[in-house]
Amino acid sequence: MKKNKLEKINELIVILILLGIGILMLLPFLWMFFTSLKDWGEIFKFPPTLFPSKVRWENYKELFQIAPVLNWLKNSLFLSIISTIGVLLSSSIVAFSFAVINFKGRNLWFSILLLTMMVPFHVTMIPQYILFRYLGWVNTLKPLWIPTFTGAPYMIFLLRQFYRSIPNSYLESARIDGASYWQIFYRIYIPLSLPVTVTVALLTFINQWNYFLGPLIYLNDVNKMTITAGLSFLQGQSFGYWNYIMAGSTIAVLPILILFLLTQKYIIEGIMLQAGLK
Amino acid sequence: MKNFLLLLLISIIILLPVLGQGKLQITYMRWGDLREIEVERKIVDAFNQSQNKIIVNLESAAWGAYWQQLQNRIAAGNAPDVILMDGAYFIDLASKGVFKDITEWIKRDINLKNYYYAPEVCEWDGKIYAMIRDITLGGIMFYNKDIFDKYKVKYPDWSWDWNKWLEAAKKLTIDENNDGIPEIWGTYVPTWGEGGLYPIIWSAGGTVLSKDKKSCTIFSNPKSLEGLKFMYDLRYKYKVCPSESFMQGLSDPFMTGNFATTLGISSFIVSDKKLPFRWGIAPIPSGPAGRFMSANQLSLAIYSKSKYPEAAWEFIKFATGPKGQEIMAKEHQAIPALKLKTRVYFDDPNIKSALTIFSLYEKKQLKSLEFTPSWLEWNNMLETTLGYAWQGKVDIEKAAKTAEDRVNKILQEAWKKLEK
Amino acid sequence: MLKKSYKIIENIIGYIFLSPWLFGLIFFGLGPLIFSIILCFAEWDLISPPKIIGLGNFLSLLQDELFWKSLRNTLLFTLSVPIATFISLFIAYLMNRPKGIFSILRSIYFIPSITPAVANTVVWVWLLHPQVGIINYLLRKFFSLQGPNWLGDPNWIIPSLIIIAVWGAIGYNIVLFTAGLQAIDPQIYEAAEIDGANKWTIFFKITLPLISPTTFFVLVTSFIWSFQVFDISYIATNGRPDEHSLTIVYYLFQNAFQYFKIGKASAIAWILTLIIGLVTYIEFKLEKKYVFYQ
Repeated sequence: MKKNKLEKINELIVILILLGIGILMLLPFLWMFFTSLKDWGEIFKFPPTLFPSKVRWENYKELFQIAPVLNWLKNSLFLSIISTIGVLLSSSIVAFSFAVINFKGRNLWFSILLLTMMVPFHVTMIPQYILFRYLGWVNTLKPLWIPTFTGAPYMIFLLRQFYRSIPNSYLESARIDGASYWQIFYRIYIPLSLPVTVTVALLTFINQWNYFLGPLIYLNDVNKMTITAGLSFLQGQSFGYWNYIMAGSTIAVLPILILFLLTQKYIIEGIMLQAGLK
Repeated sequence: MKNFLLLLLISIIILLPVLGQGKLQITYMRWGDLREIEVERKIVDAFNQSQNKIIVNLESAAWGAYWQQLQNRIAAGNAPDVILMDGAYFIDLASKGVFKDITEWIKRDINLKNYYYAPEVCEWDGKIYAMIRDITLGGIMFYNKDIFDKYKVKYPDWSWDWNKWLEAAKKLTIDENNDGIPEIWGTYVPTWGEGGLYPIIWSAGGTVLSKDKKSCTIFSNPKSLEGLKFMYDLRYKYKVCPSESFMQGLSDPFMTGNFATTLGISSFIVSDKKLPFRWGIAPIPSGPAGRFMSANQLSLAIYSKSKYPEAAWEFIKFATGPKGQEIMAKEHQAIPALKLKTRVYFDDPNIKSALTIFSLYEKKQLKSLEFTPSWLEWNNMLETTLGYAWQGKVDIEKAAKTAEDRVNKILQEAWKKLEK
Repeated sequence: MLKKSYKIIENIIGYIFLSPWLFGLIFFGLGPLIFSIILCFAEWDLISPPKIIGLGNFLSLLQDELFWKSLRNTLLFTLSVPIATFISLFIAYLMNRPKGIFSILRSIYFIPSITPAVANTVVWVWLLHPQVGIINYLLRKFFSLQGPNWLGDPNWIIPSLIIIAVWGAIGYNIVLFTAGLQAIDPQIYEAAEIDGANKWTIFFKITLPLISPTTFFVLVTSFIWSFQVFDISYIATNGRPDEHSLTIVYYLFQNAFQYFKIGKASAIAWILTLIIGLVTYIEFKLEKKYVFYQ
């Protein structure tokens, strides 16, 4: 009985500390949201204030008037969804080969995979642009999503780690039963790694959603931009329209937040279900 | 009769491709925020409607990505036909042959005397590679009328010199709760090029570079050093201007409403419009050598590998001609370089007084920044090295000497490369 | 005979599964990679063909003060990785309970990963302001300490960037660690509790080894990312990093796109790649010893 009470107090303290840190985590989001509601003059006050003295929802209305926000959101949705599909399909297959199949040269290719993550992209940017220009893909989003169907090194690495942590016993018994690699992949590894797969999908979606440099380099039409890239057009050479940028950023963050909340629940529930089935 | 009809038929068949020929399409790329791009679209539409041979397609990039995109496209060979240019990059790109030589066309079609013309952003090695488009003033004094009224100090005007400036700044640096941090500061002088650094050095009688632009003189020229000292003293001796350590995170201090005066660039006029306090514009106070401000100008260039340079030139003529410049001015996108249309921009009670500042252009008191090849590289080095003084870590002489040495190293390498 | 053909089939199948990535590498990756390696030994003005200059870029880098300084800054900055990884693991472990509040907390902690870098950094610049920032205010009030000029003092700028980076990484890492923690069979914990093991023993002897594949992944990828950090130092110094806050990739960017020294930039990039490669190689050697796959 005493142990239970101690445990409960312990847990309460932990929750309180974590909540305290949580406020620190929330601060940028809150600042972003409140700034989006501020009057122009109030945004630049120093020392900065958090809460707007006068809430100005018109910032959002005006944002929609000056910027093609709906187009931007549509483009973001398209890019993120198709990239997620591309990355999931290709990366899980490739990761499986690195994790499970013992083929010649596996270590060499894996090293090369890691190498591609280590090269700073700024120097390959120019030759890649030349390549995509040659393919006729400039001023489209193609350079951003077509390559996702060839795997994302980060995700391949992540999935490889998880596949490797699945006990060998599953693999061995399946092989004894005469299953092909494809069947093993499809019927054993995919179901067992659902939480990671969902995580990969979520992270890919978010990465593509927030990736603004790519669209800014390859597109030269404001209407084709994704939401995060489009918001860069509210920042001029001398100053930025901070109220609209923050309003746009808030709009951009909300779908991701909702997506995260939904998948989070699924990841946990998915495990609970799995643990029961095992 | 038959022969005639046959001839007619043949003529029509021959002429058909010519008659049905589509209009020539060229591309024009510029950077900007949505508002600037919208105005540019109006200019482009006006051009497209004014004639029926050429269609200009406007391509836009965000300011942060423009130069990267442009360089990618130059490397890939699909750069736009008309390119917006800025002094920081012009010389480097022109010297690499990215632009078409338009000297003859300018001589033929344009009278440069009608323009506020800056060779630094149009010419290289004796040839003209771009046409001047607009002008941004730097070193303008913005003053907060509400603060001046509250403490009963007279507004800045043409009679202001450094003494008067200092006097007013001292009166207007107010620390009401005595915590050592003023709530209101008398002034702020930007430490970056066109906004404050260069105009102050010039007003002190110095220059950043030597006359032949081959070496840096911010330390070796005592007058340049005097200008730097003034900026330093404002912060650390008279304490009417906050140190850069205090300033971190503040982009345009004037907008906070805590500054009685600041120096800034004319582009701030747009962002200051909706501020909750009354404000005005005045010329930079006169320094020991007089009154000098910066004029940062943009130009339009033609890609050297453009397939339709003549069409590109037609558009450039329009954009820098009365019709294009009028649209630019009316919509307050930029101040026209065409003298005829400059006043249209200042048709606003808040800024009307600034028109008189342009009288300084002929007297060579509105100067271009001292552009050279590799300007970005040495200017970055200059500003970050001087930054240690503005933050109060080293004294200004030491920072200036170090900066001068480092800049000289970069300059020498840059000029040497071109001689090869 | 059977063994040999079995081996061949295994190799073929391996390459079939590998093919999507191989295709991408050959088609999209190889050309640019080789081109950038060639650029290390060349000068290129973008408009005429590159001019080979041998080791000139590397020699000039040897004498380039800014290169060494930015390298030093970046190396110091990567200290944020082990700090972030272990703090995240610990917090993920604490939050790995079925109660609903923890789900909410995990979501809150993830938010810095989805708010734009600009918002994150601006808020921290404000928090770390020497005079009006909350951190120094709290230090004065509760500890009577005069807090440093976080982002302005050359001795404190890198630690400040580390704080910002760790703060930003925690929520993201927690997502990965949670997925890994959830995949641990709860029966193992039950068995250990039955055997009488206490909380700390369970954490160090069971959880840590079982989560090691994830830890390894987080460490390797975080190092790779932190060596290439770009936007934190840029935004925190208002676009003007000086020699105390300049990171190597930012210096690379300046050389490539502002100073027209793309050959030099490529040389910097490949030196960096070799350094990261070395660090990663060491990590993989350590993997054999410390990482536990079932």
